[in-house]
Amino acid sequence: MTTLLTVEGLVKKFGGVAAVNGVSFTLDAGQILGLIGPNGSGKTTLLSMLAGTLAPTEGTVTLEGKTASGRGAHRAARAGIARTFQTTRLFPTWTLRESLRLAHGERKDDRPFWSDEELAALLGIDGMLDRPCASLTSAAQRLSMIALALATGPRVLLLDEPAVGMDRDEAGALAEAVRRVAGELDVAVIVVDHNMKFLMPLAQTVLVVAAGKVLATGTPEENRSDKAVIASYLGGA
Amino acid sequence: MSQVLVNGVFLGCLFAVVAVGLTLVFGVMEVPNFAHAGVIVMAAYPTWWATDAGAPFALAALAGVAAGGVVSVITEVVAYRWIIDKPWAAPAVALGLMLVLQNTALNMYGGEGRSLDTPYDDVLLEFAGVSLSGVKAALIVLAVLSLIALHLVLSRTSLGRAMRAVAQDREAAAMLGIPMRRQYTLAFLIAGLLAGVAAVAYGPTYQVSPYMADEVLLSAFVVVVLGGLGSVAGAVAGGLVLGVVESLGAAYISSAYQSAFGFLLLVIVLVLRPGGLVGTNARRVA
Ligand SMILES: Nc1ncnc2c1ncn2[C@@H]1O[C@H](COP(=O)(O)OP(=O)(O)O)[C@@H](O)[C@H]1O
Ligand SMILES: [Mg+2]
Repeated sequence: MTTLLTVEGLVKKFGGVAAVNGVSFTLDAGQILGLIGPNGSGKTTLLSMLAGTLAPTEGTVTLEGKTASGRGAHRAARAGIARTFQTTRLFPTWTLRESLRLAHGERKDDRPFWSDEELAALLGIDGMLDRPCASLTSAAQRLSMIALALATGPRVLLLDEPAVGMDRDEAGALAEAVRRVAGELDVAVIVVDHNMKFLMPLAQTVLVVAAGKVLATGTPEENRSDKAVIASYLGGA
Repeated sequence: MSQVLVNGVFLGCLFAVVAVGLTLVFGVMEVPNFAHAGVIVMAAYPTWWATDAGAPFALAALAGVAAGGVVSVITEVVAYRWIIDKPWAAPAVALGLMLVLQNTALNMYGGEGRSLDTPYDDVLLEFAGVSLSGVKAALIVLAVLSLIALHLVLSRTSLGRAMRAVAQDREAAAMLGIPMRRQYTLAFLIAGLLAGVAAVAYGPTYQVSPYMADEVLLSAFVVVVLGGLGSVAGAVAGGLVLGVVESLGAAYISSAYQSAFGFLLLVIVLVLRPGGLVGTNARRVA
């Protein structure tokens, strides 16, 4: 496997307080990385730096050898880093198809991507392409957000708590969709979620963060057997 | 009565063109662009100067509209883009820019009002007992044409759709690869061109002076709030409503309080419909 994304010494300070405090890791094409940690441990801040939404205070993100951090969200998106948000963010008055069209229109690359119909089928929201996003159920809105991210033709996909509010079947279907994205398009995926039944079978590697630092890293099994991690951060999951 | 309504539509078209520029800029950048009044002034003077120098009115008007676009983009490039993450600074910067533009006009052209002559100054349209001067008719036509053009740009072009996306959710739009700076500049360009249209269209009914746009700006801000912050359709509807209400109030109650009727209307609408006439509370999904 080839290293796609290299994260080196990322730090983000908000008014002197470090929300992310020296995080480093690498990610291969097609790899699925789970990112876990208690609320406020810096997961969303880390994703925001990877996606260019926030500029790091220190450290760099490189995508295939090119610096991707600190250059703004639209450049990160064009370089192939796509994200979803912890709270649903869509264009409420538009249909998903209209929103997808906008995403296609901004692309300047020739990376592989799926058609609107394929995306909808992949995520199990077929039939919802032509309804205003505001009228969809909250689960469908979260899936629409993923469809939008995929329409940018990403090399790296960042999912911030995608399974929030989903029942077991919905979360299972989402996990299957994420596997296909990683497997068929060779996209590297980082998934943040608190739902361990969703995340543990999905992630090949898990990064545990606490207070902005990486506490442990390894396969889900290794983390599961790490008593300290279980006790303090997973609440026994 | 119909005469009052026609006057109201004239005023409403003027308010709409000015307010749409304000609401576009507010929608994408969230700044209250007081400098818009200065942009109108900086568009009106080149038009006056060119006609005074003997240029055909159409050419002078085009120069004025272009000047509006250029000056508006300059305000974005030299000032607004640097305070995008300091929203608390925006009102002061906007007021400062307005003063800079007005004083520039004052220095270049002096403080006295100049009348802008048009080829249709002597035209008077009359039908069914209602009369409309050529100048006012031209403003209505120009306003309608430019609002239709704006609608086409926003709905049919990818840049226009990107603009509407940014107005709905900046971060979600950036995630799709839309460069914010491009959209900020475009919003100011469109707003400036519309300010130019307003200047060329209403300069002849008032006078060209450094302070010609102060009152219109106030009314346009009322319209922006009436229509729902950031809503283009709301600004058009709000403009027409405000124009008609101000004309009715001026005709039947007291012309001294013309602007006051607008504020009264604003208070009533905000009490009944806090999101404005068109109601864009759902613009941002938290
Ligand atoms: N924009 C911001 N300004 C100030 N503090 C922030 C900001 N964003 C996040 N934080 C703080 O950074 C810490 C990490 O937050 P976050 O990354 O959202 O954690 P998580 O996603 O793991 O729950 C929290 O203490 C949060 O309050
Ligand atoms: Mg979070």
